[in-house]
Amino acid sequence: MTHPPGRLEGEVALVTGAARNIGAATAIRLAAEGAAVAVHYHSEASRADAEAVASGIRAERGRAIAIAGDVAREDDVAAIVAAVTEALGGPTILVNNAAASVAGAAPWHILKPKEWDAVLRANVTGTFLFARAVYPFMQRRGRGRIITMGSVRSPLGRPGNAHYTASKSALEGMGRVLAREMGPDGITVNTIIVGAIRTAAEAAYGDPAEVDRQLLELQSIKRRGEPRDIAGIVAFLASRDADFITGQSITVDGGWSMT
Amino acid sequence: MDDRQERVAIVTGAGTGIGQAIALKLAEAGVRTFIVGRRPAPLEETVARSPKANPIVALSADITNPADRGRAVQAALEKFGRIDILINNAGVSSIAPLLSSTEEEWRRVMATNVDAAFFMSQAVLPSMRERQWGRIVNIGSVYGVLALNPALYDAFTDEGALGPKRQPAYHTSKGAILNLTRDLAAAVARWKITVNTVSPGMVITEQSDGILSPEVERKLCDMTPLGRFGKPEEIAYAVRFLASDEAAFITGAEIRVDGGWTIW
Repeated sequence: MTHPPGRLEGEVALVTGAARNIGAATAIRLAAEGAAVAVHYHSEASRADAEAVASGIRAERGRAIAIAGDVAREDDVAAIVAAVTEALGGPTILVNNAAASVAGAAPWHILKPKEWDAVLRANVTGTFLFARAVYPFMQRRGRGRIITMGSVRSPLGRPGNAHYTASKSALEGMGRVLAREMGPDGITVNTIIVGAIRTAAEAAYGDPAEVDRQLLELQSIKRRGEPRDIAGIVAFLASRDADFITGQSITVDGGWSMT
Repeated sequence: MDDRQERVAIVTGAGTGIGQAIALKLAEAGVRTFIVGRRPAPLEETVARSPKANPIVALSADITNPADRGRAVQAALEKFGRIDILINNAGVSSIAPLLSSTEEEWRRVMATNVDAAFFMSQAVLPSMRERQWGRIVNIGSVYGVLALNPALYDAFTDEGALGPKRQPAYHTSKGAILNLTRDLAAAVARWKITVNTVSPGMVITEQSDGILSPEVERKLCDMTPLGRFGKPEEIAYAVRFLASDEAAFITGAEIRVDGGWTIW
């Protein structure tokens, strides 16, 4: 049971934080369905990975560029969207995947206001800035997709990193408002409540075997989540198949938060 | 390559509307599709529309009847040897004044919407377990999470001493589906079977077209961010996604296909 090939032919997707992990898998997946893809990355340290994602897409005869910038800075976001528009066309699919990395589990009372602000700035303000920057293209076209990564930490209230969880909860509320305000323009806005997806960065939480053991005890599905598990639903939500889905928070967590 | 082309689905209540669209989209995607319903005529209509290369097979059976359920599942197993996908779509409602609605009507709604969803699942689980792959998709409703606002419709009038016309059993049953989905999902994950809910919002089918007055229709569309009603195929696409290999990590979840109705 396969999807018709080229579901995203003619679309221009901008995926933030796409050098590795979920963002990279999503960029590759959207390209495989026919979208031209902008692979955004944050810092010099991610450049090689982002370039590899983009050139991998081009090697498969897709269209892709890698582009750097700080999602928390208004002028950077404007420059990114302008460069994407020039290279690929105005974005019609925005995937808000970039997030300030806060691996570890700092208790709330040791978080410094400066750290708090930085996380909220990147995760919430960054999403707002990107949505604002791509809106004119989507509005003109009468169609568009904004897909944002939430976190299972919101419904669960997992201890630690309260700033990160606060930012992910904010994205859900903001997403519902955007869905209502942009609905008349034919733009859908949805959030994916992302569960535990295996990444290299999770070593910060401790011994990987122990992380696996703890998570598999919590999940109903006894395998770790992989970036492709998120890329698949992003492709679905980005396609015309999901024309009537908006304002939703859809949980992809291997049956974790439901128990 | 996996064996997806060989997959077999059962769709309940697939003679009309959303169920028919689901059956057709699965069949068009290459799934060998079996439809179950009480009345043979509408089932035949779905069969007539099915792709020539992969015709849908109909069996009339009352899924609230245990013997009928067993017969339907047995017939699918005999013909195709396996069941991989179950879509619990059949649903009924009962509208009556609050104070005169009957226990019999309550039972009728629960029997189809809740009991049959669980016992159909129970009947197909052994075949899914055998293959260590399965997808159960329950069709819920936005009324699984919302109470009815009678001001939005013509049909839910105030009947004086008997109280307002309502459909409490329907709302209760669709709420139940959401937690049946979660608990069943937790139970069968060990066999690599997922269970999810697709909750339609306002959907216009061939059967419901024209039922609402133009004023009511406009009011409902005005309260939907996307400004229109859904189409049966739009429900079917979400079901098809959840029934695919790609949705392997999604279980116990709900996808509402409502144009944003529930966030209004």
